[in-house]
Amino acid sequence: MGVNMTGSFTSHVTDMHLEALLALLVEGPEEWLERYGETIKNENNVGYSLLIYHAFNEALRLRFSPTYTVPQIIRFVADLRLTLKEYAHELDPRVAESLIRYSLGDDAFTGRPPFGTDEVTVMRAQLLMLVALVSEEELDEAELVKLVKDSAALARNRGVVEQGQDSGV
Amino acid sequence: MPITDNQIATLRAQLAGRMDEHERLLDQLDTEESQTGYIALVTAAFFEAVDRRFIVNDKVVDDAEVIEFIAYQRSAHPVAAEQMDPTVAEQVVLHALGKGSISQDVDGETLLGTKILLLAALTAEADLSESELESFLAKARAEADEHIG
Repeated sequence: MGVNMTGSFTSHVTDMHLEALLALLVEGPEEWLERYGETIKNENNVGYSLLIYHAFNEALRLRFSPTYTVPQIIRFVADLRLTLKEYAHELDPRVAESLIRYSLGDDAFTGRPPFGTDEVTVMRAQLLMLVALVSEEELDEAELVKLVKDSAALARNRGVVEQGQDSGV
Repeated sequence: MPITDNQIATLRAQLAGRMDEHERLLDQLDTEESQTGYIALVTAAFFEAVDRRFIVNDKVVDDAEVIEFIAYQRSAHPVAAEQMDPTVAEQVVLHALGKGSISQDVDGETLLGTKILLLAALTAEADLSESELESFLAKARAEADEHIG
């Protein structure tokens, strides 16, 4: 995982991360796996995870803004799992609902990531829902590029803020 | 010790939606033996209700039907949405149908609470008449007696 030579985490979103996420959303998981799978798996950087987190948040807002209800979230997760058919168990419904409510800032929800599970389960839920959300919203390639670039800008800004806080600036 | 009329009355009150009476009767089950018997009765009723809902023409329905049932119940009832963990609920129903297992992380209290919520949802959906409810309770009682006997 993203630990550098000094032993601290690196969370820098690179241009390769942007290209990889775009490849996933535009061309699909097989293309992503072939071109970026091994590189991202082996790299010393959690920037790609950070980018996915922000892209998921952006996509969520397309679907659940300006208002939403908990039943709508339950329905969204259930419908997505039904489309996964025999792979429905790959998306844990409690984790998926928790992720959505946490990301939307639901005041009535008190759970915090990773919601009593592991990071891999959370990441898988984010990815499955991100792909479903952009597909449901029928974003074209230009809109996907904008979503990914906006997400990268948010991720990079957050990195700067965190770095500033870490160094006492 | 066989299932008692008091234990049956406690479950009947719950399934008929008479919650004050249910809680009063539940408080009277104050010995370990009576509580163990009540859990056996609830469990037997739960298995019977699951079989009636999810076995059609001697065939267990697809997992999708279970996902849909739990999502529908949770989205229709906000209290159930908060109290019923969908992951646990699906595991409990599928396990009762002989499909899959329940995670070892699930404690006994959560397991029983989930069965009670699901049982209430299943019987509410079945919309049993008074005589059908009596027949359902008699079946659950016989199965629980067999289990604890």
